Amino acid sequence: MNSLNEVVSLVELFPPPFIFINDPISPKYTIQYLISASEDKIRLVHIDGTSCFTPRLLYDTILNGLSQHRPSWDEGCRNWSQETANDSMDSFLRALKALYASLCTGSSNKGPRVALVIEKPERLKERMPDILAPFTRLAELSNLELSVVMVSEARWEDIRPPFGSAIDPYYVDIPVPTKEVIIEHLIKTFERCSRDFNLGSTSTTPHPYDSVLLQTYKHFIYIVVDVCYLYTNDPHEIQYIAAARWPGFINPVLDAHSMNVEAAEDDNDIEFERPSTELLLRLTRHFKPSLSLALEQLYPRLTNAADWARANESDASSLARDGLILSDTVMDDVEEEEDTVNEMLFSSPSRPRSSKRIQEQKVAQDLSSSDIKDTLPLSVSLPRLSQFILVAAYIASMNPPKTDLRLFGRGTDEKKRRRRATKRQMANAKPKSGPAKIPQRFSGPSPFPLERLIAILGALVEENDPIASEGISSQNVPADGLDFRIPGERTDYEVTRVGVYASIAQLTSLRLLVKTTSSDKLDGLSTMLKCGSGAPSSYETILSLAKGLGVPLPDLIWDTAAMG
Amino acid sequence: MALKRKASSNSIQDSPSKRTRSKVAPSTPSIATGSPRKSRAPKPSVPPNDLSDNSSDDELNIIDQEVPPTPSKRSKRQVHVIIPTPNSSRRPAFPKPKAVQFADALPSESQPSPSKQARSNNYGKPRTEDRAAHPLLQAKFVQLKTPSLTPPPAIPPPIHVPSPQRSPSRHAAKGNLSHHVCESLTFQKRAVLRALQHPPVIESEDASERSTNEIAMEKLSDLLDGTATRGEGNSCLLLGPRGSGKTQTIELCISHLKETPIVIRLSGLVQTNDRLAMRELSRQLSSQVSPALLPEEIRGAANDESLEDDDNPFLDTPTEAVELSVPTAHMHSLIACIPTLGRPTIVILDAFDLFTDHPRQSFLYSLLDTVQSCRAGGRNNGFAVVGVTSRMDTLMALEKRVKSRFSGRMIRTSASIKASQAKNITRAMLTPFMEDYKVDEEFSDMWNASVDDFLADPRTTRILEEACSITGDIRSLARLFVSPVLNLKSVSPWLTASQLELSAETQRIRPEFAYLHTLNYPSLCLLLAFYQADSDGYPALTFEMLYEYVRNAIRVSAVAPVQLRGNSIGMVRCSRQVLLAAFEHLISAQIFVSLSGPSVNAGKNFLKYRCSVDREDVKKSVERNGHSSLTKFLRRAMGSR
Repeated sequence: MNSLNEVVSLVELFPPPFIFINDPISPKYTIQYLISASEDKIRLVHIDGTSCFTPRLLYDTILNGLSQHRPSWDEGCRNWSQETANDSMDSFLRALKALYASLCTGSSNKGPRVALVIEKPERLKERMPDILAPFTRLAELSNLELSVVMVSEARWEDIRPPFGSAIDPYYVDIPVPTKEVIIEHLIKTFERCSRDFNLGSTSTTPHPYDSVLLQTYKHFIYIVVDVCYLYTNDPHEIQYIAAARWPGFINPVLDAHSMNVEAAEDDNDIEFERPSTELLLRLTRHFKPSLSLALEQLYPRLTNAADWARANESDASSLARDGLILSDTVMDDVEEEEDTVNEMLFSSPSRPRSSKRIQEQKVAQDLSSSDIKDTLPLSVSLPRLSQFILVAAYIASMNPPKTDLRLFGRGTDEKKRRRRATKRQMANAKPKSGPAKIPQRFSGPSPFPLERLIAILGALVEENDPIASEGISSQNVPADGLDFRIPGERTDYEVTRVGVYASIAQLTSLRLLVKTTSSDKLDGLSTMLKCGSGAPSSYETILSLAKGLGVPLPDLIWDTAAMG
Repeated sequence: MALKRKASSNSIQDSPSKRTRSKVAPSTPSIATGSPRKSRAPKPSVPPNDLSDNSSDDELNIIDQEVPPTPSKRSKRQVHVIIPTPNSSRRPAFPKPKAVQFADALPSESQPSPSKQARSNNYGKPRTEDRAAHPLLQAKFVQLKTPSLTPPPAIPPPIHVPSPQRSPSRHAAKGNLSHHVCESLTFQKRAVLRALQHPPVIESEDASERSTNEIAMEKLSDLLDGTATRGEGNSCLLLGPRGSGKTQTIELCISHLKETPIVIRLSGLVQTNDRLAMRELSRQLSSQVSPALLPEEIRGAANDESLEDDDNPFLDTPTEAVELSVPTAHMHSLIACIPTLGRPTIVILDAFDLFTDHPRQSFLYSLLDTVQSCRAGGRNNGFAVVGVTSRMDTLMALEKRVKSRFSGRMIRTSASIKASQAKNITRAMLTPFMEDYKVDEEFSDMWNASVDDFLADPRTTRILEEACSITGDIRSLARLFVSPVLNLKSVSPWLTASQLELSAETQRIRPEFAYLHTLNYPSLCLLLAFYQADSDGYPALTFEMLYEYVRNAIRVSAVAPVQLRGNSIGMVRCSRQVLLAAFEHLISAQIFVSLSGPSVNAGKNFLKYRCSVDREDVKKSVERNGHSSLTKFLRRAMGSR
């Protein structure tokens, strides 16, 4: 905070031409603070390195921002500049000077203080490496008193253009935010929300961000920060989690209030009071376990806050159990009584109950996520043959080709040979010097030819698919002179059907398999394939798939040795 | 300051006995309040009982000699500077703490300048009835002096100005004073920051030995003078390290010329190809010369934009075909008519080395060819080309035909300044000429004195010396002072050496990833996993491997759960998704650097990364973080080597 205030006062007083702010955790927050703190004092233009991905966009954003011009649809989305100011750096500098001169007003002929805040300058470097160096010298090139402020997660040393063409910045390091800073930020956000009239409603139905609840919110925030601070110290992330949980947290209080109002009916002047300490403690005890769940779901954005809040709404019975709502509102009073009996029996009833609740919430979570089509587990959404193909592809991706014969080769003395060979191989796997080879499963899938996939698929189906072996009994002899009584012959026949190729093509179009050769057709057996990124190349997913099929996957993976 | 003072006075109120004593020797409580300049203040722990301590007579005498006669006019001034406290009206005899702070800060060897006297008088004013206690007071100072560290605190010019009308005047001034100082301070800060951006020209101390920059200046102005007055064609290269005053030199030379020439400033950073350079040149020409004087061709080139409208406006990088639309032969003839203009022309090429990268160097060739063919005494006016660069090998980068047209003159600037010079420059920057800002005269006196103190501090001197021996760049020197100046508040309005030290640490030799130890738990886990993998011989890792390492570590610590005071001190569980989020954070902070670019086919958890943090730094930051389970992880990782 201190260093941020320092920057603000520096920009206000007399900024150096180039300031570089390194904020490893939350540059967004820093920029917001910077903009809000110096809004009315200087003219500050915020440039996002992600959205300004060409020089033209960059120039236009700066000029429009400086002139506070907003392109409107009715005027044909014209930019500020009269002529083409965005075709080169020269024209931009020229337009910048003209613009600055037009901003100069009054007798002193002094323009406003101008600062350009560039977010994600590393993106500028990636997209247009030539532009970064002139931008650090913008004040010098344009002969104006302006200042360029770059805010980045990376260090200047990693971004700096070569040959010393950029001038050295004034460095500012933003420290990692402490708990106090985060709490302060969240409370400020709450106050802003409670002033916001869109959120506010009539006096009878208070909203969750009512200013009366500030003390309660503070208490809540302390708990949230306590839970989350170990894992993340980004104020925005914690704010997100808090926003997802807070309405649910305070809902019992609001409900109770509205019920009171209803009961009172005529006289509307029931004051909305902040909940008592005891109620607060009960609320805390009830909701605290769900906070760590929220962290695990929301911090990696496995779901969004609204969905999560809906999935984790507390039902009336569990609320009543914790004494958060009056028991007469609960339908099934019987169950309630049972619970109270249980409560009497157990000396510390809170524990088993909370764990049970978490389980319920987890179930709810799973249900809510399975609403969405694309998160359906593969074992449900794919046909059986495709599942076999995926398992085979995983095995082909993760095992070296020379091990195929050892794992799947079937001769007279198959068992013996296989075991011994495996053992010897394992012993040889660790060379005398140098680090052991990284298991394939950690370094990602390797490509394999289609031929190999078909072969492994055949072996898998032959050994593990009861449906395929059933067919042996039926004695219809095909025309090609194939004899299905020979072991493996039928499977061989099955896995070379067109349907298999079609399934592979379908899996490829689903990007569960990835074709690494460029040809469009699935013609030759030499087409190289690979497991797709994400689910089909994760061990856990394929393992569950294999379990459903009855394939002993751990036995079929060559190198299962864990690292470290 | 006001707050602190209030606190101190309150504490005195609590103990009436102390209060009476403080009337006798006013300095005591103010020292004990702990001034903002703690580093220099003598030990504050002297009990008030020591006041009647034995002090040798000769010391007293020295002090007495230093006591300046007090002109009566100062008594008027004091009104403005005393910052009234709520308590002051009730207890007028309460001493101002500031008096002692200042007194401490004064170097003993310096003569008490008038301003200092004024200053100390102002603050020391409120003592009236303690004349008799003077020896005691001085004894106090002497006594304080002994236990202090080096540098020794100065013996303050003691103050004993009786002011009969003190209390009423103070009442009158009560309202606006602190505000007044604040305002002056803000003005002063702004002026100093401005001066730091525009450092003054260095002048060497002795006339016998001229500095490199002065020689360069002289040479260059001779050259440009020849062009401006005698119509010569000149070319030269101005070489010097960054921040050595190249641009400053050339601008000064041009401003000293008797006749104002046409000056064209181009920069290799902006004009990245010949076409842009040519267009900018014609634009600048047409803005400086009346259009009638311009020959047809150049006017045409300046209005070239009509032709360029044909370009596809959505093309961001002009293609090669567009660039060639200005034919090089055409360009040559355009530049050749520059000397026929009404006034001599000077072309300044900043970042000259970048111009040599242009294809076939045709722009440079045209310029230098024109220079060479510009004969003195002819009809033509002078034409000079000055290249400015910091790269020493620029001459080698010129093509043969370009090089043969270049005069080969190289003028060097240097950035080597001595520590004494640096001190002078610093003083000039810190005490700028305040023309625009209305700063209270009194305040500026005090400010100047405090700058003197600041520069006299041995730590300041050491930092300045270091700065001069590492780089003579004035800009980087000036940058050191930005943060100390910014941190001035009305509570601590003077520069201190400790703040300079702090700023030198962040601005000069920057520590790599100073914030590592404050990172969150998952990030540190990942860093430690990298540490362990590095010990195992894997310099580059995928996320899957890192996750495996972390998971193993957590599993190992869960096998033998250790509890300390009821809390488990094992490693906290961390889900894969949370770790992945932390991993992506570290990537965007460029702590983990990808070895290959992102690809469509490879999953992001299988991309290989290397860690840009040094092993030692990881170790240190984990130790500094002090998380017990992480320290254990570290020990295990170190053991696995």
